[in-house]
Amino acid sequence: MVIQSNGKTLRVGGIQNLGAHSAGDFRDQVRAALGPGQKDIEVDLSQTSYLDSCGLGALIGLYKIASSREGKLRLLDPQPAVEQLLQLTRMHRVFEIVKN
Amino acid sequence: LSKTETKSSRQNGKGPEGTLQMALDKGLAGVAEAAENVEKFLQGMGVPTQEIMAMRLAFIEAGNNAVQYAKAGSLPPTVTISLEAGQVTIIVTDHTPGFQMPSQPTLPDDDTERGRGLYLLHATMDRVEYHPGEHGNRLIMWRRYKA
Repeated sequence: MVIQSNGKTLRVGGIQNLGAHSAGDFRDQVRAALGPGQKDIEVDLSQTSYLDSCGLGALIGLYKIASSREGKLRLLDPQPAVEQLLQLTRMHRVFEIVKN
Repeated sequence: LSKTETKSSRQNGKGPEGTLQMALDKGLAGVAEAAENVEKFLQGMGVPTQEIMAMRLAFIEAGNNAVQYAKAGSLPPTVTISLEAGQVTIIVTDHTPGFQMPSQPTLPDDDTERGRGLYLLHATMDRVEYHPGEHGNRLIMWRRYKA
């Protein structure tokens, strides 16, 4: 996983699996990396082929952190299987999804 | 991850038939590994990608539950996936305390981080049954597909 700081945005990428076995570590690492002045979180999902409901829970946790700072959680380029999960759970209405 | 795979490409006018059997004996990380095997197996059987995504997700959620809530020292959960007559059947046998399967699970509030697994089983499969038992519980899920 790669975490980059860019002004008010924290960008997270290089995630292949975001499932029950890794979701807790993922959320904790991102939370720890978030600087005091940062409010937006971007999660690059272009390499993420595995997302389950626990991984989704971690994303919801980040969404709540960003919202509490009046920021946004942006999901970048989710793969079809990930998009399917977001739609089935209707979280595609909640998260900002950006496709390039 | 223990795996026993038996395949048959018998074409009897009803599509390919085959079975994949696995034990989920590597914890939650093993479920991710097993999901890859499920995907490859279904691909090899000619199941369309869109269908595989749904079945794979159901398998992952069921596998996670079976592993996560297993009683200490119990046998690992086992999974059998079979194709017959245009239908995929997924059977997960677990050794958890068991639970009451709601007939129509609902989604929690958007800001709730847990509680979507059972909903996803029902959202991705045509039919879901859970049979608690003294010597293990059986979750059986079916989905029809068109090649």
